[in-house]
Amino acid sequence: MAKKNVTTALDVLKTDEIFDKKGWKRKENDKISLYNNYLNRLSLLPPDTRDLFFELTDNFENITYDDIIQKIKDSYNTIDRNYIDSYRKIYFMPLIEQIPIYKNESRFKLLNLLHKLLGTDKKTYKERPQRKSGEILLSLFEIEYRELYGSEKFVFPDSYSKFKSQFSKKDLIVLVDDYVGTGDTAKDVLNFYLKHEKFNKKNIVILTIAAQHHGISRINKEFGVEIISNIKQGKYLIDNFFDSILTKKREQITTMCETLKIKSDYFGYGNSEALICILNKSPNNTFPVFWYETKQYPAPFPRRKVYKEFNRN
Amino acid sequence: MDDKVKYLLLLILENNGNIEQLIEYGYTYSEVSNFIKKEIEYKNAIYFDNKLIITEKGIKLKNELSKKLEYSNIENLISPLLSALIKDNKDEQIFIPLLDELPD
Repeated sequence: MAKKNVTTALDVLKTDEIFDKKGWKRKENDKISLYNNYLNRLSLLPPDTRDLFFELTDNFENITYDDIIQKIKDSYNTIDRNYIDSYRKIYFMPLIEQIPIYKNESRFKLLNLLHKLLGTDKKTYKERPQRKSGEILLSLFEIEYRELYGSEKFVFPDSYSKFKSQFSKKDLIVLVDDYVGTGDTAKDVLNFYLKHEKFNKKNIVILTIAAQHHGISRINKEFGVEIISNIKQGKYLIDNFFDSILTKKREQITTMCETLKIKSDYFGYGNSEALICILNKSPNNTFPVFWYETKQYPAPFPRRKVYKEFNRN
Repeated sequence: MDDKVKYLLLLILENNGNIEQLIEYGYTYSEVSNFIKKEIEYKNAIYFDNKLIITEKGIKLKNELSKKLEYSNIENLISPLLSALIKDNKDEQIFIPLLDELPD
């Protein structure tokens, strides 16, 4: 990454204006606050790309703990009430592929050994990585759902197997996640659910805080499943600009990424050009200038915390 | 605010300089932001039309501080934002300033 930080007084004032406009708080004396990380990032960018960085920030959606529950309720409330009425029960599950773990079941021991010998054991033992954001969101939703329409029908199953045995064709399953970008994850999960004849496109919906238009239409086209989301974003550059202006802005993004030594996906995963961060974590669809970081140079909207203590020198 | 810091801040405002010097002294961006806003409030600098410019009053104050702190030619040692003047500032390139840009 570039070594020298350069920030003018004007950059600071412009940053303040944007923070005021977005309602983002500046924490005094806090070295790893959003404000400090933002200016730190800005200070590394070439001066002629900073106006674009401000422009992207102006369109950035930062969803914090304070408003997450309201946002997911807002999304839920966009569902047609007749649609909710037409189901017996509404099951909520995280938008995650449910992978069975056979580890402790003795009857699989021989099979496992065979898999091991054949080199096919990876699939059997694939475990999900830690807690996914869909699960976190769902557990928050579970705390505060009572005033929602149809809440008496809500069921929050503990496990997938329990859910599968209870579920009937008159029920609706709502798969919850914070964000749908390209729809890759949603596609995998839907493929998993739709393998079972109990589930079909009529009794599955996906509920998210935010989603991208291209992901929504892709899932609708491929599966006929609807993604419910109150915040819908497009691809920022491609949707808003064309011709020479688009080319120029794309070049500026490339310059920014090269300066920061970002290696790939300059426009976000799958060229999604997204501008969003949910619960202090940007999806990889967001422009990496906002989330790419090293221990020395923290990002304003990181994907995960890679540093514990932020030390400038 | 310390006179030395105030002097440096006014110098930065005058030359469109790098506030990172203040960060290196241990101030946070928030504090620097408050310093800048104070200068605008006291009319030592003016912010309009996306420009931030030091005022006559600001320059006068800066000169007074310079005398008080017994800085005479120290200004020449603090460079304005030269890097902004360089196009295509690649790592492998070396920037050679003109003779008259060098400090005395």
